[in-house]
Amino acid sequence: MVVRDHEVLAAFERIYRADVGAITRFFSRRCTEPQLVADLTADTFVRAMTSFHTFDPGKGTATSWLYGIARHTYAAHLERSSRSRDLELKAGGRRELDRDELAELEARIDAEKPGRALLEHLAELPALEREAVELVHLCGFAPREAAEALGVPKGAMRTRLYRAMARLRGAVEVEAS
Amino acid sequence: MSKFEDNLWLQLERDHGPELTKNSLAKRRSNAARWLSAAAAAVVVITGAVVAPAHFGGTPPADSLPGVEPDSVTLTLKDLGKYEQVNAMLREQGIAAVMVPLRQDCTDTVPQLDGGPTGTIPWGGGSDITRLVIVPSRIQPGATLVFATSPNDFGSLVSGFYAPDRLPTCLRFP
Repeated sequence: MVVRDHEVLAAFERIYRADVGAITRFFSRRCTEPQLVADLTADTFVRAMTSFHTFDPGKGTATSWLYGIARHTYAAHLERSSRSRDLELKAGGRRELDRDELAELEARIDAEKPGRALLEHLAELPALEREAVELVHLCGFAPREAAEALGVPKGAMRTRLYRAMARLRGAVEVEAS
Repeated sequence: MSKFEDNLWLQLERDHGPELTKNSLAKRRSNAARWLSAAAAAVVVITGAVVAPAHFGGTPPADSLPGVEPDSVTLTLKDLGKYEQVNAMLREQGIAAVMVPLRQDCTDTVPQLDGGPTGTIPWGGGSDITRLVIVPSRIQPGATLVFATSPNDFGSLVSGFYAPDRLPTCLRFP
């Protein structure tokens, strides 16, 4: 395939424009600070751009690839937070949001309130099962795509989903009784 | 696009665009030898145009090496015309490819990426008039392969790469 330099950038821009909303929502379900949502979204796409040459569409969709990066970005953020190193990174050149952007992200964070509530409800589940339910039932992923994003064997995804839903049903029944 | 998304893209393009293209160029150079040898071995190099039945009719293409493309997907005669099922299967497999009808009266004039056919369409070894092997790793990132076949076999084939948000609903038989 002949791809010229500017077309690589154009190809990435198409992926960015198709998925930036979903990635922003992913972080909006986990953080309530607009600036943090912006930073994590930006960090995800910086990582994606610098590793775009390793993306293989034969192994998964761009969306699942980006979700995988977003998960790692968030995990790294949690790790940094636990070590109180965020301040150092924030001093390292993040883009400050203007008033319009802040309002925009606040609205998105607000819109993800039900999603955050669901994640809290799922807190008892193991992390992978929780994320499997989020990707399939909240983000509309096919199980196969969710498996790619989570880096688990495709065959195991249905098992995880089944197990997660069974646990949820059990929890709801206990609450109801 | 929202203001946040537009501003973020401008920043990404400015700060990391050069690295993106540099990395991709380096990757392409490292792959060049492999591509060149593959191209030399291939009997069928399709440039988004029509594959004449004669191309696929007799002996299999020279690049038909069973098992060299483990992620490939093979369509057979029973898949012809089953657009919904085939496209659902491709989606499920995470393959950026769409099968559409091949029509003489198709008026869909959606532009292809690169402004037209640019390279090797990703048909794998084993493709002939009875089957079509799609090799997902040969589909460029960010592009969707759209292809249309004749109603009875894979002897006539029209295809091209398109932006995922601008796909034709049919392809025109030249």
